[in-house]
Order: sequence, then C-alpha cells, then structure tokens
Amino acid sequence: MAIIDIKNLTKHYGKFTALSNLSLEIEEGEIFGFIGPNGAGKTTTIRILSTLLEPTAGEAFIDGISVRKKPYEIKKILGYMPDDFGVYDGMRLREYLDFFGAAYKIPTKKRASIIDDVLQLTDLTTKADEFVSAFSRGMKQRSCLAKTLIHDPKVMLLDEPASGLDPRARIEMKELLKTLSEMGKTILISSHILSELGDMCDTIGIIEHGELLASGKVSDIMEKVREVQEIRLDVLDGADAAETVLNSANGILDIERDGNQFRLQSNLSRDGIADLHTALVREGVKIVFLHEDQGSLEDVFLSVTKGGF
Amino acid sequence: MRLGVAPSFLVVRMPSLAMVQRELLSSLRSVKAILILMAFILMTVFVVWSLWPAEYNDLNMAGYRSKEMVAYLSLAVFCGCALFVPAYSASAMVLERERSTYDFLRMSLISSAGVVMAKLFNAVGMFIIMIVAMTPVICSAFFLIGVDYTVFIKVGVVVLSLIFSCASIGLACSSIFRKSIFAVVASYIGMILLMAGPVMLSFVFATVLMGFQLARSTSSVIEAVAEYTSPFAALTYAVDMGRTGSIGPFITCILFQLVVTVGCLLLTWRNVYKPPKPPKITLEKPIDDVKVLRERKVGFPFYILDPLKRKKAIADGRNPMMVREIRWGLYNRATTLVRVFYVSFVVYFIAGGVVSMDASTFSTLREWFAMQTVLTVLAAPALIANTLTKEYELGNLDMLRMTLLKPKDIIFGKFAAGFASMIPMLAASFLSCLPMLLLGVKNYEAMLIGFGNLFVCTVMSISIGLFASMLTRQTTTAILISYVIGLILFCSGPLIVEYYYYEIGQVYRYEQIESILFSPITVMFEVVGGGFGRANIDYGLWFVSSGIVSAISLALVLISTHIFLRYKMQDR
Repeated sequence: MAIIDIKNLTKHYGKFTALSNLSLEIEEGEIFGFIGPNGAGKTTTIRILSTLLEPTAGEAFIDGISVRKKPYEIKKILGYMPDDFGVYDGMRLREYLDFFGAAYKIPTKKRASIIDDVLQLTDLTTKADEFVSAFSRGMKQRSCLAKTLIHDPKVMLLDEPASGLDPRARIEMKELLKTLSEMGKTILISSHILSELGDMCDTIGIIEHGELLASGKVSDIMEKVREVQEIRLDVLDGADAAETVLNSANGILDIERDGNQFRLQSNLSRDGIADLHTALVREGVKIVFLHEDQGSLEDVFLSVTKGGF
Repeated sequence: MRLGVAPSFLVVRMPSLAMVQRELLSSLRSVKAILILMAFILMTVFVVWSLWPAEYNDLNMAGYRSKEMVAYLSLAVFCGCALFVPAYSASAMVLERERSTYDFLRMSLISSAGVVMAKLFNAVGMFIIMIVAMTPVICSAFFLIGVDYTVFIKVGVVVLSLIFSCASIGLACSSIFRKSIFAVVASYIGMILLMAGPVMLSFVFATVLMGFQLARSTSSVIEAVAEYTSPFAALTYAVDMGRTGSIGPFITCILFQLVVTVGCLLLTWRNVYKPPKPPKITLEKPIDDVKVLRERKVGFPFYILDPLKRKKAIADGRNPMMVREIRWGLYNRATTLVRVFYVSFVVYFIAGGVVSMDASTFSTLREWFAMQTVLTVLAAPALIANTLTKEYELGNLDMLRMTLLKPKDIIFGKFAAGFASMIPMLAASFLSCLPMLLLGVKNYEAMLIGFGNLFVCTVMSISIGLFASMLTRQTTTAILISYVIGLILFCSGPLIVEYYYYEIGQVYRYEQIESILFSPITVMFEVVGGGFGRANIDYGLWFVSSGIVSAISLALVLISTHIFLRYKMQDR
C-alpha cells in the first residue's frame, strides 16, 4: 500500500494554476525525488501534504489519513523541513529541540534521550550548547532536520534540503538521508541538484507547470524517455577500419569522430552492440573501450521537460 | 516632471531619484496607503459633516462654525500625521536590512546623503500627497464666512513641520535599530518627546524649584515652555483657538522642529555613512556549576536571572509557547526589562513625590495613576503587536504550525508572555507608591482603584496588540493598527455618547457615566471622587466599567484565536 497517495490534487492561486490534477503514489520506505523547474508546483504539493496549504480540489492521504480532514493526525506522523526557515534568537540547539519536543507533546522523561539521539544522528552533539542563530547555513539545515526528526515521523517532506550547502555539507546531508531511509522512513525530497537525487532516490517524479510528466524508477524513466542510445568507442589502432565497419553496420544512426574516439547515436539492442564489437575485432581494430552511455538524471529531466531551470 | 518615469538625464545626475520613483510609487500603490488615505478622508469628512450648519438658525453662527471646522480639521490632520508618520518612516531602513537589500543600496552609486533624502522624501511625500487629496474637503470651510487664507498657510506650516520632524525622527530610529519593532517604538517615543519633552523637563525643573520654594507654581513655566516648543501650541495659535499671542513663539516653535529635523537627519546620514557595528555573537556556554552561578549572583553585576544558567527542559503540561516566549523572549531581554523597570520607577517615583506634596485631595492621585495608565497603554500594544508578525518575519510560522500546538495554546501562550513583559512597568508602579505611603498619602481606596484600573488597562492593551498582530504580516503595520484600535477603544466611548446626546439635544445627567463605562482611561477621573460631586468612590460603577473592558479584552483574545485557527493555520 502506498504511504503517500495523492489523488487529482489541484491548486489555483486566482487565475494561476499551480497544480493540475496531480496524482501520485509513493511506497513506504522509499526515497522519492520530486524534481521540476522553479514554479513547477513542487513546494505547493509539499505544503498541501504538510497541511499548511488548502488545495482547491483533490485529496491526499498519508498512511491512509486524509490531509484535508485530519490535519492534526497528519502532523503526528509527518516531519516537514521547509525550503526557507528561520531560527529563534537566543536559543541554544538543545533548548531549540526541547521546545519543539514539548510542542510535539513528547514527555519530559523521554525527551532528553530523544534529543541526544537526533543530535547524534545529525552529527550535532558537539554543538548542543551553542546558539542556533550563530550556526552556518549547513548546520542550520542539519538543526532543522534534527527538529524534523524529534517526534520520529514515519514520513518526511524535505523541501530543497541541500540548497545553499557547500559540497561537503551536501555529501553529509546525502549520507544522512540514506541513513534515515535505512531506518524505514519514507522521504519525499525536492531538489534542484539532480545528480545527487539520481544517486539517492529509489523513485522520482518530474513535474512542470503543475502537471506530473513522469514518475517511477529512475532507470525505467530513462528507458522510456530515451529514443536513441549513445555509444562511445575509443580505439588504440585501426580507427579508419573502425569507421568503415561502423558505416556499414545496421542500426548506427550517426557517427562523430574525433581522432581515435567515436561517439555513436544508435538504436542497437544489446545483442547488436555485441555483434558490433565482434565485427570491429575481426577487422583488427584494437579497442580500448566500447560502452553505452547511461546518461544522467539531467538528461532525463531535459528530455521530459520543455523548459529548464 | 512625471512622477512615474523621471527623465533619464535627471536620474543619471541624481541616482537617488530612482529610489524615490520606485519606493514612493510602490508605496502609493499599496493597500496600506489606500487605507491610510481612506482613514484621513473619513476623519475629515466626519468633521465637516458633524459641524456643518444644518439649521437655518445655525447660519447666524456660520463664522464661528467655519473657524471651529478648520480647527477640528487641522487637529484631525495633525493627529493623523502624528499617528502615522513615525511608524511609516521608522520602517524605511529597517525593512531594507530585514530584506537584505540594504547592502545593495550602499553598493550603488547613490550617496549616503542621497539615500537619506530619498527616504525622507518617500515618507514625507506620501503624506503630503494624502493631505493634498484631502484639500477639497478641508476647503469646504471657505463656503462659510470667517476664515481667511492666512489660517490655512499657518496650519500648513505647522503640519508640514510636524511631518518633516516626525519623519526625520522615524528615519533616525530606523537607522539605529535593527528590528522594526524597536525602531517603531523608539520613533513614537521620539514623537512624544517632540510634542511634550521640553514641557516634561520644565515640569520637573519647576517642581524642583518649588521644592526649594523658589517658585510658586509650575503652571506658568510649563505654559511658557509649551508655547515656544510644542507643535500642538503652534497649531492652536495657527487656528486662532482662543490664543491671541504674538507670532514670535509660533516661529520659535517651528524653528525648534526644524532643529530637531536637521539633527535627526544628520544622525541618520552618519549611520548610513558609517553603519553601527553588528551585534556580537555570544559563544559562551551555559554554566552548570552551582558554585560559579552563586558567585555570579552575589558579584557585580548581580545576575538575578543569570542568562548563562542552564535552562531546564520544558515541563509536561506546561504551555511550550508561553515558556518559550518568557524564557527565551523575555529573559533574554532581561537587561532591557530591568532598564524599563528602572526608568519607569524613576518617572513614577518623581511624579509620586510631586503628588505627595498635595495629597489632601483625590485629584492629584488620579493624575498620577492616569499618567501610569497612559504610559502602559502606549507601551503594551507595541510590545506584543509583533507576536505573530515576528514568526512570519523570522520564517518560523510553518514550523510552529506543523507542531501539535493548537491555536489556543499559541495565542494564550503569547498573551501570557505579553502580560509578563509588562510586569516591570507594573512592578515599578507598585513600588513607587511606597514613598507616597511613607510621606503620608493614605488614600488606600483610590490606590486600590488606581492599581486595579492599571491592571485592566494593561490586559486590554495586550489584547489589542495581540489582535492587531493577527491582522497583518508586518510588525510596523501591526503596531500602527494596534494604536489606531487602542485610540478607538479607549476614546471613542465618551465621544460617541456625548455626540449622541448632542444630536438628540438632551442633557442627560448620567451621560458621562455611560461614556466612561467603555473608556478605561477616563474611569479613574470619574470614579475616584470625581464628577457629579460624589465624595466617595463609586465601586459599583468601577466594577461595571472594568467588567465591560475585561469582556472586550476577552473578546479580542477569542477573536484572535479564531482568526489564527481560520486563517493562519492553513494558507489559502
């Protein structure tokens, strides 16, 4: 059963349509990457799921609970980390977490150990007695994540958690999210950093102009969206012979040559690639490598969407 | 020159003109500007409508009516400017800082003086345009006889000088403070000091002289100082309301405001040219060692509420919002609160000392309590009007809404914290009556009513501030709204009741009783041995009045909770 179930979600801001009949299902324990250009409707979807925004039409359920009808129940199982958030002046990290712990009605006896746990998980134990407002951007992000984890939510909605972070902080954030996934949490994450989402997410959804263009496993979407495959060939010797073979081979649509390196556009099957390899060897071509270029999430994104970032 | 698109050669020569264009035009397009304009025009239309001679017999008094009309219209514009200009101008620089555009401004080719002048013209221009928009209503007085154009010129000079001085005070505060709430509050304090500062100083000075038997009364000194410095005195001269004095004090008064304006602008320029240092980041760790904490408590500066003492976890069953606001909101501002206590205590103490010299009647005690009540009523809304707007401004509201706290927890938590923030002023009031008791003032009943009234007014003011905070997302606007609502709630009761009896042409013996029931400020004057020749305190009347005011306060808190539940928990 899908833990997040969105059905025909629509949101209008006056005449502007932010979401149009969006339907989506996310399975329990998945890391779901929600990608799309600015203004595509990612944050609107996340805010509706987190009960902070009223949809114009449609319905969404988290763990079978309606976000429209039972927002209080939703808050118990949901952790939300906004894109843009502030911190309270004059509060130390432990006090900050204690306040949110109390606000989530966690008993005092349990609260201290829970705070220790989330501090350890987010690698902020040494910062517990420091003022949150004096933290760097990366540490503030981690503090907010710690706050989001304080009531042990089943589902986490993270809106651009890695934005504005330096490369090291991004890697740390990625590792942290992987750990959370291993703990069984379902994570919906929106991000612009597609390469990182590609590594991290089990499934993705691509949204543009409020409409879901594609969703599913990254590899499945790639297969669907790619009309031709790209093959790279690097030879040590016999480049001319190789070119002759390639020109005569079936299924090769385009050839670009740069010295001993070739870039091929083809619609060959895997067997076809193997046959091509055999033909090249037979003609005495010394091959350094021949492989299919898998492409990246950026390529998929650009193929699926019409606009860009 | 067209306002919207200034000639490019002018913009190139004067880059600050681009700022004026952008800000003034966007300000005039805002809903806030339309609301202020509506408020101004409604105010003036109401004055003309209520004073316009309706009966044939009234035409015999047309001259008097036209003068009266001009006087009230001028007063309305004067009060409107005093109410709106400080808050509007105080947000000028602070908003740039809060939106992180201040550095862009400083990095542009606009000079510091250009920035200051552009901001000044934005603040001033807005209100001048509004006054021009009201001119047709004001000039309706010309249809009646008795007013000549010189009155309008003099009133114009007074209002313009007030707008410039209030705007420059607001700008100076805006350049000093980093948070809009402090800038706005300081701006209002500056405006009050401009209006009455020299008078207050002269009062203290005259009182000291009287103490040494060097003067017989304070009134002559106060009147003289007011005549030469107070913008209000200049207005009464301009509209010729029973003042036949020379033009000398009028000009002196205008010059005094000019000096204040120039001084404040120079201060603003200095702060823009060389901004104040950013606040230090505290890196001190909390102290767990009991011995060290004890040493800090008994040694200078005697930490009664040690900011470094480790705070305990929020206990089960306690309202986390209230605890947060008090522990990290108020206690973190403990130094400010202690200063507020000291200043309030000194002011109340001196005033109490003066009262004690003439403690035989109720009247002096009434004035002492009235002063405290007015100060409280001015301070309380400003302290709590940012209660929700700051959550918006800090970006914490989403996280707060996602917790399991219910709207009533948030609202009542904030209300309780707001009341706690007024404790220093209330404590100063209680403690400052001790010297009066020692000096032999034994009017315990009057004191009981006075403190009770102070309490009721404090609760009412906090409710108003809380309610205002629900109506907007900007602290500056919230403070402004809270003062407007305060003005309506505290003053409209008597005005409406008196106007009603005036209209129906009846003289009702107890009309004042009805009016004060809705006005906690005037209740002190009438209940404590005041009007109608009563010798004793009318407890029944006071209880009814307090009950009504408390009910209004409760209603405001409940409405605030409803607004939060209906409109703030979920965006639409």
